[in-house]
Amino acid sequence: MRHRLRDPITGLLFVLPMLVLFLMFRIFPTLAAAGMSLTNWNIGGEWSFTGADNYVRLVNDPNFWSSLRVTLVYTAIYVPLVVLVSLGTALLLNAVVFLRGLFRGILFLPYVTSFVFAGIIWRWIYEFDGLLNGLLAKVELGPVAFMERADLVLPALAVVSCWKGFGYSMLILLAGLKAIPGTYLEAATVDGANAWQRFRSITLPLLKPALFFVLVIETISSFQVFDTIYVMTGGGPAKASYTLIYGIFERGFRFWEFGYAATWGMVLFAVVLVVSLIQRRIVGKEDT
Amino acid sequence: MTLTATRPAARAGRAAAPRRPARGRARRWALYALLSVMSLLTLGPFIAMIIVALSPRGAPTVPVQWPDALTFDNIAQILGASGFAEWTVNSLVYSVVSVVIILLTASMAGYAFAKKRFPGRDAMLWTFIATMMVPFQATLIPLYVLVSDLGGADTFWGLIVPTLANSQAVFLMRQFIMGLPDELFDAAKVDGASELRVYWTIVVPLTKPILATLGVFVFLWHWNDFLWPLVISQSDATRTLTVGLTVLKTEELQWATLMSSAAVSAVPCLVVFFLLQRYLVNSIAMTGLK
Amino acid sequence: MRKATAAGIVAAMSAVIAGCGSGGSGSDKSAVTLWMYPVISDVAKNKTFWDKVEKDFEAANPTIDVTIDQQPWDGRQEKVTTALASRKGFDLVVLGPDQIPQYAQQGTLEPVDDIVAPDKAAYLPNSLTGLTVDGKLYGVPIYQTITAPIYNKKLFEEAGVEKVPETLAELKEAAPKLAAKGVAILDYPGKPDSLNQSFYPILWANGGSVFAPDGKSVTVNNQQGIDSLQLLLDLKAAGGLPENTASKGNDIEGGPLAAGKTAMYHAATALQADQLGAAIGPENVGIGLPLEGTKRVAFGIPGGLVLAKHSEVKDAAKKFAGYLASPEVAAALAKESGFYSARTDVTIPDQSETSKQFARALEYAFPGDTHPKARQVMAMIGAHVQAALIGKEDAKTALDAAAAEANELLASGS
Repeated sequence: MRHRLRDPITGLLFVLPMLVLFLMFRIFPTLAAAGMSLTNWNIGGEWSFTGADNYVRLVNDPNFWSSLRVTLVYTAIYVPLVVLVSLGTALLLNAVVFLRGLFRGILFLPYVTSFVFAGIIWRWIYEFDGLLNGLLAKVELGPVAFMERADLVLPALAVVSCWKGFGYSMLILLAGLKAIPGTYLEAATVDGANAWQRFRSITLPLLKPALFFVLVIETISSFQVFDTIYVMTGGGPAKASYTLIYGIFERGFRFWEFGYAATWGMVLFAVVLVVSLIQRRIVGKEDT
Repeated sequence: MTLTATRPAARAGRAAAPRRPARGRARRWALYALLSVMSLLTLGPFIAMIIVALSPRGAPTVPVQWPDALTFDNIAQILGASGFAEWTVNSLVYSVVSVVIILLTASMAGYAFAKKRFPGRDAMLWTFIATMMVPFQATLIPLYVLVSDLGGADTFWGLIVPTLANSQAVFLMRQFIMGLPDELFDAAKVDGASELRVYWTIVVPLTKPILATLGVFVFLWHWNDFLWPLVISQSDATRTLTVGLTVLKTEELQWATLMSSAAVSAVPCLVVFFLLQRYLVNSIAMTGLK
Repeated sequence: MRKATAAGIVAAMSAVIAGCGSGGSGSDKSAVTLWMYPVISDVAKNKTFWDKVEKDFEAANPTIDVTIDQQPWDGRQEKVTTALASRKGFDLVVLGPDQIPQYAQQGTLEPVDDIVAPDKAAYLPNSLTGLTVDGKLYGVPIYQTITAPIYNKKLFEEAGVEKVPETLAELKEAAPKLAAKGVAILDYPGKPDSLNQSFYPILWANGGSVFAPDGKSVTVNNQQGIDSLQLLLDLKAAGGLPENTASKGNDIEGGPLAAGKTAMYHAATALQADQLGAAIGPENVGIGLPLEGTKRVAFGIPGGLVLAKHSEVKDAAKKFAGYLASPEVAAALAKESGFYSARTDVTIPDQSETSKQFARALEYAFPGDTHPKARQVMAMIGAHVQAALIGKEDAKTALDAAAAEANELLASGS
């Protein structure tokens, strides 16, 4: 750290353009939403401050607790899945030279399209007489109604989001791998380290900043999963895939209870923040 | 990031030990086999998309059966929609302008967060990151009211400017600039280079691969963005392609229209991706720096 | 309770930052903006139609400048809500009876009784009641939609059922015969986002109702409700519903009906009938009257032209709305869209055969209960009906639980 340039003014000047944009278009609307959560505001007419009423209602709302549980379970499935898949593919791509560009392009394809497209494609795949059940039937495991089993719907949705989203983290991790000087790995090879040892003691530590980024971003996106659920299950079966963000959408834009929807939003914000801080603690503050 | 703890002593100049060729070849085959399987999983749905887009409207097609005939009618209908050219230009403006400004402002901010010390730095960074966690649905109405009160409804600045506040971009740039060795900046300082010069001649060139990656992402995010362009644009003058194409959709789902528009709107994204491919391939210049 | 002069705390806070926004235009013409949705499925025809409407009206009313913006169905809710919240955007927009009560209750819409008053008797009664809140009309019905059962006649013939089911009892009776052939009789879409084209029509046909007449409680768990859900469960047990019935949507293309795996859908639109025709051959598609329980009821809603309270050109907007509701425009719109006129004094030229068949169901049209909490309650019932369909709850338990939740919501007043 001793080499770091100490220059508060230039530091601030470099941040300034982004800072102004943030204050206006992120922080202000967030504060307004926080303000809304203390009122019974809807889009027109009368409103009043209701203090903590919305928060009391939230605590007593069984829908909220069940959607919080659903969201956490989904995150616990999705985040490890997507991190492993994207790290795996990034390592694979980094290990090959011939046709690397082509493979990278193909693997990135799903990220280019919309969630609606992904949702529809995967509905075909999960259909009772769809592709996947055809395969399962061959090994005498199926058919399975993926969208109707409370225990299977979240893993099934997590797979869809992973398929759609892993290209993003894959590219980030690939860029991270590229930033690791080749000489380190060559030196380790010369010293007789095997592939796993090289990965464990060189690649992984040097990849930490990129990995931490991916972890945080994927956690946030898993808390905000919406389109896949909207297209595929509508929150079902019997609310088994009814997430916090789906609840916010429904309360705000279907039921027009904006104050209460904002309350859900604030709590979702707090939950993600806590989870991210825990992740930061685990990954290690110094390296992030 | 501190490299010191784990950084092995660089042994430049020593040649890698010769590998046993048979084992290397088997390993390479395994790698390519794995990659091919994964590629099939990602490519399959796209082939289905294109087949449906080329199938006659309403006729049975995949996944039920192979279509009897193929036609370009659906694609032609999309391309022939009255606003198509205008929407495409609008989408390009929205995406390209955003890419340029975000790459610039985010890399500047990322540089400051990674390598400068100033009061409130960490708090500010974490506030930036925290705003990502506030769901967009919850802030949509306040944001819209703000922008439309500023006179931004149905204007290009109203469409673009609010989306420039991009925490992911700042966070990403910071994570990668942190990996650049401090010695580089010290050396430049000793040479008496100005701050802007350091940014322009050291930070920008060394982060080219990640800037290219980020450029692809920002382009995609804006190109595929739906909710914000939908609410802020009122007419064809600022309507983007994603929103415009949904105007073509009826209430009932129609495969041909849906898949054709998905195919048509994916094309520019792929073009951008393959154009920037060159920069993604170049490995970061750090190997030369030691 | 305080009255906000601006659009609540948000607008007030942003106004401080923003200062005064856009200025007015200098022209002495009244500029009226209509947000229209693609009700005419052919893109080119849609454009031609609305361009003509605009031109004809402006020719007759030179002081009014009309803009018709086509908006997508996707994100309609967000788009209309943000416009009303910021008090900018449209003067007129088309909404359905499930949206109007809430917006009206929030004081963002202007009553439009005076536009309809001269020809009131000419409208379908249910079109008007569907758009009326607290005795005031908030939407000018410019078209009417309808649903009716569609059948794959061939599958019924192959199973030896000579007459396609026209009542709920016949539906149940025929189910095992089709099941024996590996066909589920009813393509019931159990995905819980709406019940209007799934559970509600059966409930209504059995004489049931979601809300009590006074709107203060929910009655979906009375005997009619339980019978309706039990019918579905009996069908399921008899192999009469598709395997994924609890989670499937009502898309025809790519769905089991088009693939010949299910035999009928009780609440289809005319466009869906055409889609089915494209898949299985139009000659095999039958279109019936709404299935009869104790009565016949079909889900069908009017498209209501609503006037925003924030509009600064209300007189001009009303004039334009009146023009759109006139018999000539209504007839032309019905012809092009395949929907129907909400007026009985309109003859639609050159209707397609499908449209004529569906028109027979118009007299049974019911838009659902116009209750400000109708959507919340529907979401609660939807989740429990789905739970029953996947076998987690029986009919009575499911509906009792839904009713208990809903009654608690209504009692809380929030």
